[in-house]
Amino acid sequence: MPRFSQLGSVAVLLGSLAACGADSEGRYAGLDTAHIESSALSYKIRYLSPPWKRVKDDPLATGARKSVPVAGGLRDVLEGSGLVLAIERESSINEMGLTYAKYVLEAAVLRCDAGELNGDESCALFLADGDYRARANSEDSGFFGPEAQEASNDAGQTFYELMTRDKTTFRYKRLAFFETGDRLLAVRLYIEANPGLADPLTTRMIQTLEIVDPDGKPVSDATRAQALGAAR
Amino acid sequence: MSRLLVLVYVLLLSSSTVAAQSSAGPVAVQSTPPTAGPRRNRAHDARPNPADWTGPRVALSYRLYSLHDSQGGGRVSTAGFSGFLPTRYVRAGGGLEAGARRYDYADSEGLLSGNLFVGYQHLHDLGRFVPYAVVLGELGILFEKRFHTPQTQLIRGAGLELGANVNLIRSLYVGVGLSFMLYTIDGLAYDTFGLRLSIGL
Repeated sequence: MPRFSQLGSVAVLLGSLAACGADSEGRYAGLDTAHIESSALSYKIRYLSPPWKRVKDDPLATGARKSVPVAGGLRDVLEGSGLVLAIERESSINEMGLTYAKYVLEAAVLRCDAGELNGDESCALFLADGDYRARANSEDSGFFGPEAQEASNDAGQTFYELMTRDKTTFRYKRLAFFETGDRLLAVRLYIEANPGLADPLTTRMIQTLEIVDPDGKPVSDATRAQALGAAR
Repeated sequence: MSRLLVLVYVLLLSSSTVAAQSSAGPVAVQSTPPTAGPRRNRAHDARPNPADWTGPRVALSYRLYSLHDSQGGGRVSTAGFSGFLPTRYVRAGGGLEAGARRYDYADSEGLLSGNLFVGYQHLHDLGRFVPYAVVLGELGILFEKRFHTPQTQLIRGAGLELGANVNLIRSLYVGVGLSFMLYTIDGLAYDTFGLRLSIGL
């Protein structure tokens, strides 16, 4: 008969193998969170790390880069609202002397002028439509249809998305413009990659981006409707 | 399914080979001086008695359980090979398992793991039926791809399995087991019930 001390050792061994960790059923279990708080707007995005890594020294993240390309032009980024994530490529082969990360994700808050918007149009919808038209002229488009598509994230917040492919680099670009509590503000999410981006995992990641209040909680539909109503 | 049938066929074939070798015994006995009484007794003794079965020695098994999570993880199916120590009432041994875990957002993931188990098996009293209870420790690697990037995750777990083997012919048996396991993968905890079907010698 084994001694109790031996049974104890077995129990300790099994205990060390047994579960100890966060609940795997939690909505964002196993994901890291980037919480960006700018003066005008806050948002969160969840990402799997690895393979994603946050690039804190990217010019967009540090604030050195002041604008992003939208609708064929450049639009200013709200200070302190930039976020960059990347998945580095596994091989070191350069294509045409250029090195791209396998995936790059950029997020930033953009502002529209009231005069640019038509009627009840939100800044997000205005930018998405304009960006689609501009990109359709120079890039392969139509992956999600003939215009930017409306969708919603985990918190039920609305965004408009499109996907294109660069004809020279052959890299895919997926963009989503999120409505916020402020009709004149939008969060632009831009993902660029060598692999196709119309996959469920990328969609899932986009859906984790949420516009949040100062307490870090998702801005509800009621709050947004109130804010949009006040803006009108 | 066809692989399972092949497996059953191979095991039955090997079992019948063992039976054929055993049946050669009486032929050898015939070369000895004919003594009808003892010969009949020997033949009687050579007949397999389920109560003499000393438990499993090796097994092939199929196991189904779930490593479901909110990030697309799902059901796991594995095929395994186990070896048992000749420790009679103490059921102890180890095994290797290989299989796949369903992943909702892309291709299934590969899983390779090893396990050790120790517990009790109730021999003799119930004829062909041998119920058992063991505690299991498991360690493995999950091969997955996220955003077209290969990754490996360590999986470790411990738990309890209850089940029963049924001795069919000679040492051939089939078995069924139900388990409750606690797993950890990349800092996430999973608790899961599982089903094991096995066949062995």
